[in-house]
Amino acid sequence: MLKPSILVLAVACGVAGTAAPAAAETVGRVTALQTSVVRGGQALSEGSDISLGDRLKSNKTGLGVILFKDQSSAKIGPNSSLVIDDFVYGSGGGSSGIRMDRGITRFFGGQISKKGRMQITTPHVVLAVRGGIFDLAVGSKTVATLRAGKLTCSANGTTKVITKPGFSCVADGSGVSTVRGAFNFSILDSTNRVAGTSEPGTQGPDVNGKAPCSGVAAFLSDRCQSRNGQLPGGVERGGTGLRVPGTGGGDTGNRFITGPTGPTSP
Amino acid sequence: MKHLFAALLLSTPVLAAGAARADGLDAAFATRYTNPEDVFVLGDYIRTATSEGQYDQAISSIEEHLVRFADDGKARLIAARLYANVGSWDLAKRQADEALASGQLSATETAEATEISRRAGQAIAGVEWYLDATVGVRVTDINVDIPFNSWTDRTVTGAYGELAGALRYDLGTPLGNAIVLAGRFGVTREFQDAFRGYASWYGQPDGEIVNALDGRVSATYDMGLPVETIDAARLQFGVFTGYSTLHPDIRVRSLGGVVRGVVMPTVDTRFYAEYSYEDLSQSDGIYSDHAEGWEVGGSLRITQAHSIGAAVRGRYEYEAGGVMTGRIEEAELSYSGRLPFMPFGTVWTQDVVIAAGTFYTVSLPPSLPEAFTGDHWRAEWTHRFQIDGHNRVEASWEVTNTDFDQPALSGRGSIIHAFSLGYTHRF
Repeated sequence: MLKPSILVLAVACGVAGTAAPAAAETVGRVTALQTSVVRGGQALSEGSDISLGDRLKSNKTGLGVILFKDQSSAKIGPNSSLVIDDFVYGSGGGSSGIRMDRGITRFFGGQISKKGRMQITTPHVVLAVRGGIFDLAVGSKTVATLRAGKLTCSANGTTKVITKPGFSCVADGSGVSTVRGAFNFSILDSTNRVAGTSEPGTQGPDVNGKAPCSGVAAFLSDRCQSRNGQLPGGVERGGTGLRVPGTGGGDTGNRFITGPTGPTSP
Repeated sequence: MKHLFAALLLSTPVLAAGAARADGLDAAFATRYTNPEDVFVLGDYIRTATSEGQYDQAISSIEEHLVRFADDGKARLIAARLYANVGSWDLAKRQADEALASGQLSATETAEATEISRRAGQAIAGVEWYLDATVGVRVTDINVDIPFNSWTDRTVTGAYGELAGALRYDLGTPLGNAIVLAGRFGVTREFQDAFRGYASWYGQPDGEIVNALDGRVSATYDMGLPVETIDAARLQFGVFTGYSTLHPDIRVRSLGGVVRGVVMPTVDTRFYAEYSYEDLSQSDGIYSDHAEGWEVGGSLRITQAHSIGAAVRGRYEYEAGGVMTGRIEEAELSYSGRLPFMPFGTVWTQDVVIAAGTFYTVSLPPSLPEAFTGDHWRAEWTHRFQIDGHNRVEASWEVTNTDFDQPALSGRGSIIHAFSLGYTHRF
């Protein structure tokens, strides 16, 4: 069942003894890893424990999964940086808090998101999640796209609630608004075209190196931001929708995608 | 191994997974936490989480598997199915399309992935709909015990058919506001005599076996409320019109409106309250000019496979001058559940409803008291056998008992049993 991987073996050897300080509480562990995610400058491997206070960073093609003890998880995409600020979990619920400074990540709710308080903070907005899934992209703006459940976005005294999958909230430091449209990064869907590599530091086969601003991590580059204005991820200035750069290989990017909440009539 | 993993999952369809307790989920998670790369452990957790209705956790595990095995088309079909379950249609479509492109699906799986992709495409465009066509046979046994009447107890066997459907048009708002159009029209071959043997007293023909009609069409505006502390709250405003026959010369035509509030404190609990008003003035053969109704209820999902509910409701009918012509109030308990057996490969679910209440109605025959009051109870037990996504067989039994309070009628009333067996195809 084990996936043979030179990377995993190499990284596992390399990070021996790099666990968090003994005083730090273990809140989860790395359960899948593609390319590289580091903590304190040292690469993590599958099975590495994650502790309260850890700052995790992925490289430009990094993709890793962290599984928390409340059964929530985070699928960390390229060029991401996040800190585990809070994690209290008991039978009655608890609370969790993650600070994300940049990058893209798909968060999946667990028991805390259903019975307690799950909160994600970015430089632009505070997000509260209730029993759901959402994609988060942080750059010069924060864009959070609901995939399931309920998402509450708060910034500068303004709060927006989203219950319909496929809608996003956008925050730029001055406020928060909702837009119809999904923020699509195919790498978060692990499609073959971008997720098929296990070598660290290399791009997936479908990321077009000749057109870096059309790649999945384009919005994280200053060059792409200046070209596209108020990115991340191709958020059009003043627009009501999201324009997402394609990855050059049939990505579903350049569409305004929405999804219904499903039947709600009693 | 990856395909064995997928086959393991697919061999136990999502709907067929048995109910699991929370400790089962916790135990599965504990094993999964310590064995993140064991695909069988991961599969067991996904099955358990799905059975528990913890779709987000099941999805996260599938997504984790796809990080390792991005080319596993069968796993992508499971992901598509789960994303469809939570209404995340864009991701459902994406995963279904990836599954189809993998070339790894069997003919059945290909059909399912194609169907998910089609449904998701429609939903992304803002439209969801269904249309059910049902045919069946119903046996009704009627036993009426009212003094002086000319009623003959009887058992009637008749065919029935029904078309029922709904269309939800999404208005493109963050809270999922939508217009819902719904309709139902049925024809039942049955014996009808609303006068219970007294029809000749009113110059009406006696009852006879007729093609009884029953239909209703509604349009509802469904809007979400921006609540933060609970799961969801919605308001619904609807208009409706209905038509039904109760006797060869009695036809009820209604036109009305309803307002309903729905609150979901958690993903497992739901409460609602509604008020309705309907105009009956265009009807033939009834005294009532209009009616009001209310209903308050709630439900609790105990596990993904079992839920219970309770409701109280009342309906009041009035003459044009405002004099009450009828009243019925009742309380209801209900249970819905999925059985852990799969007869002939079908998914077996059942609904049980028990209700009891009181009623009042003006007296029609001059020799009887001016008004009847009494109590009633009814029980319904419905079994559904879901063959696949489009076909199901339904069998139900319903009994309704009525007893009158009036001394002259003490202990008298009626009891009606109805058995139905039907087949439904969903388009």
